Formats: sequence, structure tokens, C-alpha cells
Amino acid sequence: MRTIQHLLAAALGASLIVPSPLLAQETDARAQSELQGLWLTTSWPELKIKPGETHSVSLSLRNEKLPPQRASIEISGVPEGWEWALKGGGRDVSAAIVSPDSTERLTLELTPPQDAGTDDAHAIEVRAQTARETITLPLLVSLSQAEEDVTGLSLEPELPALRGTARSTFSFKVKVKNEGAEDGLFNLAASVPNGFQTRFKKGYGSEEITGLPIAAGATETVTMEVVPSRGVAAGRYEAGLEVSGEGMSSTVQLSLEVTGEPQIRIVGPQERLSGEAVAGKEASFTFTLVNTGTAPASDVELNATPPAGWKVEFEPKDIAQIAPNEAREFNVRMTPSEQAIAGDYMVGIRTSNDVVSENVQFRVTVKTSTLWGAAGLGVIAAAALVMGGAVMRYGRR
Amino acid sequence: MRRSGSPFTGVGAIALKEAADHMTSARMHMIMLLVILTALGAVYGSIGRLRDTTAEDAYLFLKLFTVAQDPLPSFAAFLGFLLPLVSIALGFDAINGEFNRRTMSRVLAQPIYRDAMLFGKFLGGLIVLAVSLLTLWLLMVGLGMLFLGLPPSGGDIVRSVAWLVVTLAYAGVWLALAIALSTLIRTPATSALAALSVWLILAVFWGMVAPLVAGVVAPVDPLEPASILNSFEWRQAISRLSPQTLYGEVTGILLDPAARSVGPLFMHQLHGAVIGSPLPTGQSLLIVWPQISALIAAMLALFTAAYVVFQRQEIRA
Amino acid sequence: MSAIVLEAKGLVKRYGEAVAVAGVDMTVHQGEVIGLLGPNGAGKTTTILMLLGLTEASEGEVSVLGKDPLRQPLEVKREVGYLPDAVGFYDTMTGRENLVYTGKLAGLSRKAIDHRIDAALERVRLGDAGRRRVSTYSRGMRQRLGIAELLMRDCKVMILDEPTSGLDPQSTHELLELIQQLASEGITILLSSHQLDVVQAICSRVALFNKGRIGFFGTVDELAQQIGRGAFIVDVEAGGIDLTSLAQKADGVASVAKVSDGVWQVEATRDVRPELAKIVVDAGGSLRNLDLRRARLDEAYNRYFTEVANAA
Repeated sequence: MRTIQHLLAAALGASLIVPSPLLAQETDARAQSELQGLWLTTSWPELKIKPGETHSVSLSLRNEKLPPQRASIEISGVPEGWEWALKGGGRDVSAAIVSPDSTERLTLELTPPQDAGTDDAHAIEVRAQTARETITLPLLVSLSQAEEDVTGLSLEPELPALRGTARSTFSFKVKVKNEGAEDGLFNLAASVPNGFQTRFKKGYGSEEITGLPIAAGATETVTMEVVPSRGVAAGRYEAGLEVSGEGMSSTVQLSLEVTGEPQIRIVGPQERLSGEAVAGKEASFTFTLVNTGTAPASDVELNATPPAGWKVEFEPKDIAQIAPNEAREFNVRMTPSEQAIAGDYMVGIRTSNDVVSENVQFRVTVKTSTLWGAAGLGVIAAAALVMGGAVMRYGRR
Repeated sequence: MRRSGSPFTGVGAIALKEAADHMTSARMHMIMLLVILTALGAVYGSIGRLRDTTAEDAYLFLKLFTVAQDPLPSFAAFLGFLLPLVSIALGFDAINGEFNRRTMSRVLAQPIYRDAMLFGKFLGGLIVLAVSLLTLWLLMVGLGMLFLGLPPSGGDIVRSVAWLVVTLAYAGVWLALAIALSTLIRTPATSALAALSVWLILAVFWGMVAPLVAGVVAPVDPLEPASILNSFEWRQAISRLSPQTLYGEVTGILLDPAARSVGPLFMHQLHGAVIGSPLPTGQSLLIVWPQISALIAAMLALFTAAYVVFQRQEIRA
Repeated sequence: MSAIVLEAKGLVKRYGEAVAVAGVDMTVHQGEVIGLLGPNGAGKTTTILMLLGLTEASEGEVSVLGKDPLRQPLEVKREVGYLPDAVGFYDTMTGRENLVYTGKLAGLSRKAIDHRIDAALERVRLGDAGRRRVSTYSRGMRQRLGIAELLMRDCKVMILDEPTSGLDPQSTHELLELIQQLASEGITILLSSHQLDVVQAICSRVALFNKGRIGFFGTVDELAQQIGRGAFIVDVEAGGIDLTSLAQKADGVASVAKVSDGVWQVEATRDVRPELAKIVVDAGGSLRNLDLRRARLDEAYNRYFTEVANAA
């Protein structure tokens, strides 16, 4: 990674333009009328860089009202052991031609060795030599070891605090501004409570991203979506967004306010969703309504979808309020149809209010009335009685 | 006048002697041979069908009893048809045979009451029937294991044994009828013919008689749907006078766990029902309990009739 | 006098309106052989059935070996053996198997049956035949098998219904000998028969059944006397005299009947041979034969029923 550290010298304005001596005379003469000539300039002629890293120094070659000028560029004064390169248009160059009234940009890459001493200032001279003249640009480069806490990034959340339920997705839009001089690719990282999930998107885009490039001075909008873990208790949660890259990083604290949400579950008698009943006879089952959510559920209605001819009643008919993690029992009284045949029937049980609803299928095994069994036994007993009577009356002959 | 001593003294001896007699009699050998041959045929047919059609079934063995391969009826149907014949063969000369052999008075001169004779005869017949049925059942299960290659499940065994017990009661009805006729009629040939006539009527012709009678009692009006139902119910009620119908209904429910009713079913009864889910064995038994009760009660009633007639007879020969 | 084994008082059996037995009184002592006589339908078999408790008496009291067959028929039947008329056996079983079966019904243990069965069969000379099927038996063998059953059961009283009917003379003779032996061993025997010579040969007393009653119960001699004739019968063959009137003079003579020319039959209450001889000789007749014999049962029986018929 390349880092350029700018040192804004106090006497910036004085050294901004370095005219050639020859030209200076002419300039003096026509100072008020026309500015004419070739300049080699840089924005920051004195700078501090870090050892072991490659730094780019932007150079500008300006031709003002002259015919196209060819200039060979020479670098001198680079200390022993430093690496350097002169780039133009992305390639290594050693000369440039500047059209009239235009500017060519060049980049001087300097890489001081890791073990370079820090205290000395090195005077590096860049010379542009044309047929007519030689233009000299002196640079003063010193090395700095100390990391400067310079924030080149600013994060500005659009809405720093959002509110929603445990099942909502919290979308934070954050404007990220690259205040540095260089374009960069920046990483996105989030710190959220355990179990929360996050993902990043760019602007209003739909692709998930992990990082994003921001041009120097540009601003991008990042959307951070936070999904709380299910069943998280209601309350305020902090989420941090950290953007880092190009030696810069910045964090912003966001907050989510998770409001509670009811969630209901129906538990059958003895935790089974099956029971037994006798045709035409009322059978009572105790169901349990459990609020596994984080907010109370109110006005829960109880409904059933029974088979034809069945009667299903609830007691109570509805449940006014059920707090989170609370269980409330309700009785379901079913009377299978008189004509129900033995075997299994399905009875749908539904609980609902405005917010939530829950459905279960309750399997009822209808048993044949033992009345007929008793009647059958009665018939057999009667036959046996008649036989006993016959034995009593005619027996022992 | 109160007499001392148990009326059942000697029942065991008579029953065992009767059973032994039947087991060794050519008559029984012939008819059991017939039953076993038909059973083998039925099982062979059903095994063929089961291999072709059934892949997975919790009650595969029960199918062995009920699945039929044309033109043979199923094993259960065979039993319903042939068991009466076995019972009649066992009972048609129970009492009049003793008179004809002039053994009755000699046996009754032993220190036993007359009651023991009839009870012993009936029990002896039931023992033979029970042994035969058990043998047949074991034969079926053995063949099933041999050809299907898997053992019967616990449910199979419970249901088929319950069915076996009802089958014994069904055979008992016919045995009681045959014994009753043998007390009423002095000539064994006549009592055998009488018993066979009853069998023919109830087993073969009853299926034709019931709709006829129902048509007379409750005529069907094509414009009145209720009359169709009414007529059907009459028909069912009349056909249930035959023990064969009752036994068929018991077989249908006990050997088919998914069967839930013997009567007509309406759509509203099936609404919400889980079709094809097997019933517990106890529930199946409860459904046909009226039929089972009727069979047992009929057996007791016929036996009581025979008993009263016999006890009132003069033993002079 | 030996112990009373059987006593009946006023036995009555009615079938609806019909009266089968109209009042029977009878006392039998141990070791007696009693002949039950009478036409068919006179009530013999019904009485036997009542004695055994096989049928309930309408009235009256019975005691067999001190027990009431009407109340304790099982106890009575355990001691009293009954061999019905034309007894039947299970043809498909052997003689032994038949006896084992009735032995079980009699409540004998298997051990006791095994123990007694051979002796019983030997005694009736069926030792070998016992292992054959009854279907191969002759009529006499069946009767003997019936006796063997009673022997096996060790019955103290035996009631035999027509035991000799259908038997050849040899078999009859053997059976009678056996019965006499049993009686001498202290077994009381009641037998019914239409063969009066058989009855006379072995019975100590006879009971004449007539229309549901016992018209007479006693020895044959007593029967002869009771019907107005003597128990002593003298056949006289003489010439030259008419004994018909002369014999009446002798003391004890009940009747004189001319059988043929010169042959008379004199019935008397005692042995009147000396008196008859004297009368013949005194009258100048020639005495060719003078034979005393006891009254014959068949004669007494026939006369009895003729008189009964006449009286009615």
C-alpha cells in the first residue's frame, strides 16, 4: 500500500512556482501582460514519507503559450539505497513532450529502504531539460517513523438509530468520504452482538460487498443491513461499522432498537397432537398456548376446523393477553359426530390475532362406543342366564 | 327336589372320548382333508397375488387370509363356507347315535348326570374344532413364512388369533345346531339332512333370500332416496340372521385393520377422516362386537334348546 | 335275615295322565336274586329306572343301600350296576376300551381300572377277546362284557334287564351260573326276564308286575299257593279208577285235573303222595306212577294273569 504523507510547509506559496532565471527576466518585463514559458511544478515540494513504502510524488509539466516542448527529465540527489522510478501514463518514462497550453502529469515513485535513518532531510532535484533551458525543481524529502493519526475517511450515517422487531432487517445508510488524496479500496467490517448477522451493499444496489473503492475526495453510500438473532430480547443494541483501507480507518457507532414481537405456539395435551374420543361423546383436551416471542400477544382468538357434524368448543373462547414466555392452558371440548366411524380424524386448531397466527392439526382417534360392547355382553349374559336356568330347571337328571 | 352332586361329573371324560373318537374317525379325516386341500389352494393363490402386488404392508400376513386369486375364494371365505360342514359332521349324530347304538342308557347308568352327556358332546366337538383351526392357522402361518420369507408381526398374530377365536364361536353355532337336531330327530341320516338343509339355506341361498324379503318389507321407491337406504338396512338386518353374514363381517373387520365400518358409509362420516390408517385391534373388535356377541349368544341359545329337549327326553332304550 | 339293600314304598310314576307305576312296594335283602316279571308295559323298566334315579318318581320313597336314588342318584349309581336290555357298546372301540371309558365315568382312577379290568374280563371269559373290537363280538359276548363292566365297578347291586334274551342255550346256562355265583358272593341281583324257566332256575323270589303294581312278591311256591293252588304238584298215573273225585278227599289237595286217560295232576299244599297212593289202592286201582314236582313258574304265571284277567 502506498501512503503519501503531505507536509504542508508554512512557506508554501513562495516556492509554488520556480521560474527559470532566463525566463524570469522576460517575465519581469512582461509580467503584467503575458505569462509565457515551461514550468515543472508539484503541489507539495517538501514532504515526509515512511521508510519501506513506495510513495508517489505528483509532478506537473506546464507549457504556456510555447510551441510543443520536449523535455528530458533527470532526477538527482536520491540517497543511496533508495529506489525510485519516474512514471508517466503508467509507464517508466524519462522524457515528455508538452503541447502548448497544456500540462503533462508525471509521478515520481520513491521507495526508501526499511532501515533508512529518519532524521535527515534529503534534497532531491528534478530537472527538465529542453533545447533552450533547464528547469529545476528541488524537493525536500524527510523520513518520518511515527504513524500519524490522520483520518482521511469520514463516515456519516444517514440515520444512526433504527427501530424494528427481532424479525426486521435494519438498514443503515452510511456516507463514506475518502478525504485522502489518493483513490483507494476500503474494507468494510461490522461489529455486532453475538448472533446478529450483517451484510453490506453499495448504495441501493443488491449485490453484497465486502469492500468498495472510493476515489480520492469522493463519497460513496454504503448500506449495512443488520438482522438480529431470532428471539433476541427487546432492547437497544449497538452496531459498529469500520471502514478501513489505504492506511486509514474510521468507525461509526449505530444503534438498533429491537422492539418485542409475540410469537405463539400450540402445544397439545401431554405435548402430543393426538387424542381419543368416543363417537357422540364429548371429550376434553387441554391445550397449551405458549408465547415464545418477545412481546405480549393480545386478543388471541381460538378457532377450529372440525370434520362435518362435529362440535368443537373452546374454553376460554379467546385469550386476552399472554406475556412472553408465558403458557396459558385452554380446553378444547370436542364432540365427534354421532355417526363418526371408528378411526382417525383430523381437527384443525387455529389461534390467531392481528399479528400472529398458528395452526395445528389434531389427530383424534374416534373409538366405538362401548355401549354396544356392553349390550353385546348383555346378550351373551342373557343367553348364559337362560342356559343356567335350563340347567337349574332340567339339570341333574 | 334338590339332587346332590355336580351335574358336570364326567363331562371331561365324555368330552375327551368324543374328541378322540372324532380325531380317529374316517368321517373327520375326509372332511379335514377337504378343508386342508382347499386351504392350501387358497393360500397358494393369495401368496401369488401378494408377491405380485404388495410391496410394503404392516399387515401382510392378514392378507394371506383374505386375499383371493380367481377363481378360488380366499381362505377366510373358504372357512366360512366349509366350517359348518365340519361342525355338522361332528354333531349330527351326537345324541341319536348314542340311542341307536343303545349305549345311552348304559352310559347314563354310570354315576353321572345326564347333563354331562350333552355338555361333554359339545365340548368334545369344540375341542376337535379348536385343534383343527389351530392346526390350520399354524399351517397358514408356516406357509406364509415359507413363501413370503418374513415372520408375522405382533399385530398380525393378535388379530389372527382373535379371528381364530371368533371362528371357533362360528363353528360352535353350527355344532350346537347339529347337536340340537340330533336330539330332536331320532334318525342320524334325517338329522344330518336337516342340518345340511339349514346350512344350504343360510350359507348359499340366504344371499338371495335377504334382498327378496327386504324388497317386500321395504320396497324401493326410485324417487325417494331414503327408501333405498331403508331397504338396504332391511336387507342387511335380514342377511345378518345368517351366522355366515355375521362371520363374514367379523372377518372383514378383524383381518383388515383399515376397515372401519360394516354398514353403509356416508360422505359426511368420512369428512376429515384419515383413510387407511389402521385401527387398534381393540377398536376393530369393538366394531364387530355385536356380531361376535350374536354368534356366541346363538351358540348358547341353540345349545340350551338342545339341552332342554334332551333333558326332557325319556331314556328307556 | 341278611341286611336290607333295597326298599321301595309306594313308588308312583306318572307321565301326564298316564300312570306307568301305580304304587310299588318292595324289600330286597342282600344276596337275593329277584326276578322281575310281568308283561311289557307293566312298569318293570320304569321301576328299575326309579330305583337307579335315572327317572324321578312322582311319589313314594326308595332306599338303595341306605341312600335315596332320587336325591343322591350319583351315590346310588356308584354302587348299583345296571345292564340295560340289549346293551350297546361303541363298536369301533375294543372291549377293554369300552370298559376303560365307563370306568372313568364311574370315577375310578386309571390305576384302579387297570387293576380290575383284567380280572373282570377273565371272569366272564373275555380275557383274550377284550383286545378285539366290539363289532366282532357275538350277542352273548356283549352281555358278558356288560357283566364285566359291573364287576369292574365292583357293584354291590346289579340290575339286569333281559340278560338272556337272544342267547343260545349254552350262553344262557353260563350266564345263569355266573349270576348264581355272584349271588353266593353276597351281591344282590334284580333281573327282569320273559324266560320264566330262567327266572325260576336262579331267583329266590319273584315280583309279578301288573298294570303298574307288584301283584305278587315272593317265592314261586308262595305264588303257587297264593293263587289258590298248591305249591306241590303230583302227577298220578293209575288205572281202573277215577281219581278226579276221589283225590278231593285227601287233606291238603287243592285241585285235581284229569290230564288224559288215566293221568291226573293233583295240586296240593303239601306232599300228598302217601294219601294219594292209599286212595288209589283203596279204590282198587292200579298205581303206575306217582310223581311229585314243584309248581312251575310259567304255569303259576299264566294262571295268575288269567285270573287277573278274569277278575277284571
